[in-house]
Amino acid sequence: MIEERELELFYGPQHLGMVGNFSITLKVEGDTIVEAIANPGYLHRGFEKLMEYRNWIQNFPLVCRINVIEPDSMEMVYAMAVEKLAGIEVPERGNYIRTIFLELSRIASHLFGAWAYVNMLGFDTAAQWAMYHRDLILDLFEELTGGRVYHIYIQPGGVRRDFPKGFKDKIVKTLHSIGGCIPDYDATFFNNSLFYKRANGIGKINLETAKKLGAVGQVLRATGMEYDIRKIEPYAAYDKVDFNVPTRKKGDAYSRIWIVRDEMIESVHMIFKLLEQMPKGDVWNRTPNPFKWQIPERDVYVRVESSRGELGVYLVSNGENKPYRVHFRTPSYTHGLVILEKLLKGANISDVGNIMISLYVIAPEIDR
Amino acid sequence: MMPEPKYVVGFGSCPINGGMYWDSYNTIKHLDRYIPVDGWIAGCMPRPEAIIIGVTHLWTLIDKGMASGYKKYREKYKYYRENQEKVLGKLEWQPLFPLKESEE
Amino acid sequence: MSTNKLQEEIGSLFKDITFKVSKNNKIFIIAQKEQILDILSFIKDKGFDHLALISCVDWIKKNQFEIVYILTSYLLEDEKSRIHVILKTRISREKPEIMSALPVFENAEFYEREIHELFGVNFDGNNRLIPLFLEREYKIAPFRKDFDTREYVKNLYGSILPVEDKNK
Repeated sequence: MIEERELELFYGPQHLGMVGNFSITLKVEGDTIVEAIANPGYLHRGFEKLMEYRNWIQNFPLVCRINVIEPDSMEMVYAMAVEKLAGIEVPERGNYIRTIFLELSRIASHLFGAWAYVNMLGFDTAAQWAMYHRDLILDLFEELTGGRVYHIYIQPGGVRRDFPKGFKDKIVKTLHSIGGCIPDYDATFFNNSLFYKRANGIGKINLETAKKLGAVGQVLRATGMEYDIRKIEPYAAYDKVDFNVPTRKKGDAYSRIWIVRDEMIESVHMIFKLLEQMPKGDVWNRTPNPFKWQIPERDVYVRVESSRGELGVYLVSNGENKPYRVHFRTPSYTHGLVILEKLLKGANISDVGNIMISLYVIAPEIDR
Repeated sequence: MMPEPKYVVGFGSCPINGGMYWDSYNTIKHLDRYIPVDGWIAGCMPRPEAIIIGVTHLWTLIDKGMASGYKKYREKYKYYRENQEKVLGKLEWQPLFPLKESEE
Repeated sequence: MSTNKLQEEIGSLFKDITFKVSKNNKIFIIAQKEQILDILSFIKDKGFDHLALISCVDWIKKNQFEIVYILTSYLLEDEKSRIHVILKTRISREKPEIMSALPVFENAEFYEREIHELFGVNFDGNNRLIPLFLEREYKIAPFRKDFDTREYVKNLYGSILPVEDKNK
């Protein structure tokens, strides 16, 4: 009799509660979930195998496309790994430009994440504002690099070209117009009592369990630990600028989304400070001819802080002009597979989308 | 199954001929061999202006009666079903339309 | 706790391992496959409690697989927060099997599932080795070096004509 009460439900790949194509099989008793099994694999393109057939430099257009929402942190971590293997230094102005570029990309990614969560809860107005502000930042990227979504701007040794004339003023103007709208966002969504009632206490995780399951990023910072790779192992120009790392104590979906809003404001202040301090000089140290550039036999592990957590790459070279093995450690892998299956046990069916998007998961990053 | 009439637009350069992943073991390369496609939008990612032009072009094709992909699916179903079975293995559903040799 | 002290303690407890420290404080340990679980729990007690990655490299010329475990630390102040421990071991390519790291780290399950599916390595103790990403059956596991992906694409999907042929 007890087996007949269980129903198997397929929470499929086309759903408002998913970001990307990712499905979950739920075993349900009444309204509560008994067991959840994640099925990734809709977006598996085999990146790491494809990268073994191309040069070190020819891999940059491939590396971009692993994370569709924030491709710049992928380029950055791969370029840093190649530089560590080959022993190349980056000039100082190149480091400052890389930092400004990564922070702009972080703001754009947080606006997209805000669109996804706010739209899922039903507040369409604030979601469309977030998409409009992200479009203003994509226009800035188009002027600098030529493409709106995929940039291919960071390369080993620095960046491809310097800022064009008048670009600094355009950045300042765009950030003022985004920052000036934060009170509107607060009044519409963040201080709304409906958001509090729907997100408070949902998907709760405490510090010990988070550390045992390998959580990073917003999931860990919402439980009270100030874990940020930009402070622990500073790279680019992050040790020259002063910034806070926002944390909360409760560990539920409400805290995670508030951290997203606080991080956006921190990034805006960071860009203003960096633009004042930027020195003059070169932006690129020359690297050898890409078809003949051979890197000695070594392996290395490098990590950066993307907008979702700790992103790392393990790169092995065999002495040829192609990589021998590349393996990306993406933050959505632990959050979307290990922690999701743990948090969904005992939850309500109507909370599945809420928990999934508040864990800040992106499906292309899981499958690669 | 969607009721007819229905239209398919290939978005991006990956359905056209494989795109960036032309040598990947897990992606299909030409969408036209598996379901009938009425229009393509190129780009990776396509620009917003390209998307608008692509969708409004589909409207003019529908008005002229030239977007007949769903009729072609019914006539040439044997060709599409053979290609689908070659890539996806044994399909779990029965043939949707009667498999007859297409007269040309 | 400095790296020299860690090197002495590990050297005294385990025989037959190699311990190298690179110039920016990253530790490389090469061990035999039977010692892996003991070394992992020893290093976890010393404060390296974050399993970042389990990866696999296919050295086809030497006929071996290499399983790599990368561990970092969750501490905030201390020089330990900047140290990565990379632990490597070699297993044979004909009959690849090794003990699972599930008793020590709970998030090792999905990494091992992925390596089992893409390389064909068997992990004893992990009884949930079902397919994660792939849908078809492959005769050779896809990420091995003797699986030529361009040949496979030509056979199954048909090849793409180069642009010059259209004018002929």
